[in-house]
Amino acid sequence: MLKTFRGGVHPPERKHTREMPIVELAPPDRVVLLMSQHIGAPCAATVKKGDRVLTGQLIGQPQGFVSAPVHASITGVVSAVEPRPNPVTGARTAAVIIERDGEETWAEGTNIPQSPDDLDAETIRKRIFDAGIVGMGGAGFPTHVKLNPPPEFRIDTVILNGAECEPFLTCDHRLMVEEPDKVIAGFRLIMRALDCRRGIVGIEANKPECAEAMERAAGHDGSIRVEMVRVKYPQGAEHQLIKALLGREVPWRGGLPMAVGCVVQNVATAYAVYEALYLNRPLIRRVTTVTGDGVERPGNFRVRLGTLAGSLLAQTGVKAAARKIIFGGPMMGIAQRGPDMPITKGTSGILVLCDPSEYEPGPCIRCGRCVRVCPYGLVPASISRAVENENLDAAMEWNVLECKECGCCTYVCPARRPIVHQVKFAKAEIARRKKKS
Amino acid sequence: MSNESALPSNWVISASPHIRAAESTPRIMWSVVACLVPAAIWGAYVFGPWALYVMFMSVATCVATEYVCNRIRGRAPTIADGSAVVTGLLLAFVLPSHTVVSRTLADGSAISVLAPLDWKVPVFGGIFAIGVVKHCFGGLGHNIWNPALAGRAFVQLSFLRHVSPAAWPWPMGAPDAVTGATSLSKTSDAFFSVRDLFFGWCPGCIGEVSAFLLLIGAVYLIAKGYVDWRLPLGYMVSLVAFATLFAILSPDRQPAWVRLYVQQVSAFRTGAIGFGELSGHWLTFCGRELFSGGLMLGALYMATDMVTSPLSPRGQAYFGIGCGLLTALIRAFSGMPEGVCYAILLMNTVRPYIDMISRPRVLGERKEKKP
Repeated sequence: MLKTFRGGVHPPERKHTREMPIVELAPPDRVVLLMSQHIGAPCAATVKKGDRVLTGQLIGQPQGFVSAPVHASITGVVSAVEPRPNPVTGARTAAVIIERDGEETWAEGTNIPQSPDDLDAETIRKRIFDAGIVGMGGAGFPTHVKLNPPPEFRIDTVILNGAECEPFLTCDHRLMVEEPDKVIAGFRLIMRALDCRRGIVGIEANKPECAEAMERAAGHDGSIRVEMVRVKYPQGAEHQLIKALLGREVPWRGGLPMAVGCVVQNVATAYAVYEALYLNRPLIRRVTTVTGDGVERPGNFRVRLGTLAGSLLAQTGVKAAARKIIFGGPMMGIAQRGPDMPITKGTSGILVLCDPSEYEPGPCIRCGRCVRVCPYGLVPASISRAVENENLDAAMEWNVLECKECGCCTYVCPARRPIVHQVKFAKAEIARRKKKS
Repeated sequence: MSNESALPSNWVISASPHIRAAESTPRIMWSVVACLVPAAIWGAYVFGPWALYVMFMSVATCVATEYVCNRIRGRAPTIADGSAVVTGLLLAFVLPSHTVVSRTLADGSAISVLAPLDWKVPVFGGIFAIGVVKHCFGGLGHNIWNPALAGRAFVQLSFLRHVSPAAWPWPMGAPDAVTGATSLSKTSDAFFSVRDLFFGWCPGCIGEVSAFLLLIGAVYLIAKGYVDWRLPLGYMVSLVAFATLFAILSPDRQPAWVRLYVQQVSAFRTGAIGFGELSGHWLTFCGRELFSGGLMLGALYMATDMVTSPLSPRGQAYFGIGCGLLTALIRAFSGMPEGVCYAILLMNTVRPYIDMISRPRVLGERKEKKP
């Protein structure tokens, strides 16, 4: 019996791109680099219109501890510093727009191979911060914050998240198969930064080739072990992966994994850490899966951050029947208003679907499916009804704030109620009310 | 950007998730209908064509009432979702096809004869179930009580002469085709073998007699996840547990087979029979409790009605246990022979409270420290 958590769903996997090698794309003619590609304070742009910037050059200075710098992802000239819509929040946030000119040149001090073998934990954390690395599974939480636990938390286990439970997405899958040594090297640096000697790689059981590659790369020194977990969404969510692998429960009401002695990092994050410390390259590119039934030639691509979805989709081809562009997977991804949205540090996939999945919601028949699938033990039906009745207090009593919007309830709802939508609305209203008082 | 012109426009924006399971309310409702069909066919077979007529009248009335109510409330038609058909079928299942009536002969002696059930019974039952119990509370998903059972309770009060649980009709062709004594009747000495009760060769309402066919459909519903096994199992276990207790506490005014079991317990106490033999008697007793009356229909299809039962698995168990306790109480201590209908309606009433006390534990939930 494979390890797992309580609840969850298993939608059709549709990992059509799992066999497709990562294709390195040439730098685009233009990038739109948002100053907010992470959770926390947005960066302040350090360049202005007309400046010439080199690849890897710092262009966004982090503001505060929970923030991450942004670097130029191509060599060129800044054509504008202006607000652009953010693919995660939908709101306009400051962005630096760069037009490519001529040969690629790396900024001074970057792209120099070196060995990080004798760096201490403090230096590793500093370098990770300087490289602008954030959680690349989608949440975008600055990595150095996770690597700086307050002294009262002792980290005994670091988990490398290779679950990739979202249907369609295969970018982590390809990284684990193609670059296992680099991923593991990055993971070892993360473990060193936390002074932790136990690492677990959690991989869903539908990716045996990944487990094999990671096991080979991890070697036999006993510090890193690879564990298969059951194929079930949201197995790759932090709380669920910790519960499955260690049986520990992250405390509710905003508790962090470090409270139960662990830190979870995504496979792509570990790879970025490798590039930052072994090659001195800040985070300026990532692997993203372009897939969905609306894409002509799906695949896994290594793209520069700030590449517009449209320029990527122009290369993969989009069917005329396509109706929806989603950044991320089909369960938690965010539908975009159009193709002119830039890829950010957290964009694990671009999903183009022909079926817009628009449904007329019906009344809740209280079937209880949402309760059975909720991986957090909530009662989505009661939350949904409370929000429908505009009773935010009742929604709070049903712990709406514990919801991580994984979408299992909405996926199984036979009445097709937009429960995640209602939860997002309730959270926004509660935040607004709190601010007012 | 030049290459954007090749892309479609009018992109759809909606909240995640962007895929849905192939499950829908109509699919669930029609599955329930399909699972009720074997028992309906059995009812038509043992009680004759009039049973079919009662089922037809009940379903037709429920569907028509649903249509009219939607029109009055200005809502989109919901007939196709199948929920009114489920209610109509279940209502007919808890009605008798015939009524036992007394006729006085020319020589002054009275005999009992079977008269087909008055058409007004399924019609008024259906109107009350859908029009009052379902739509007055807001329609599908908002009703507090199971519409079919509330409809049945309504006609039982309104047409007592026609719907009398003390005298259900025998199956056609049975040896004594008229007497109305059922297995649960407290005033008669009727004995039914567990086998006859299980397969549905006994007097009763149209759809409740064959425990066997009801179970087959329920197994499918449980396998599909439309029914949580905790509720029917909790119901049955709690019923036999409390029925056993109440039989021993109050052996008077009980059906003959209950009194027999009490005697067997006394025999065991005096050492006249062994524990093994008593266990056999107890199993027979349990079989009669479970397969008599409307218990199987109630536990598998009525109490498990999604709308009127609790949301969480733990709540489902509580609900089942509560139904079992109330059914056993009514069977043992009330003037009525059967208690399934009122037991479930009472539990429907406290369902919101059960939802509150059966909230699942949130992942990572810590006990609140009281200041």
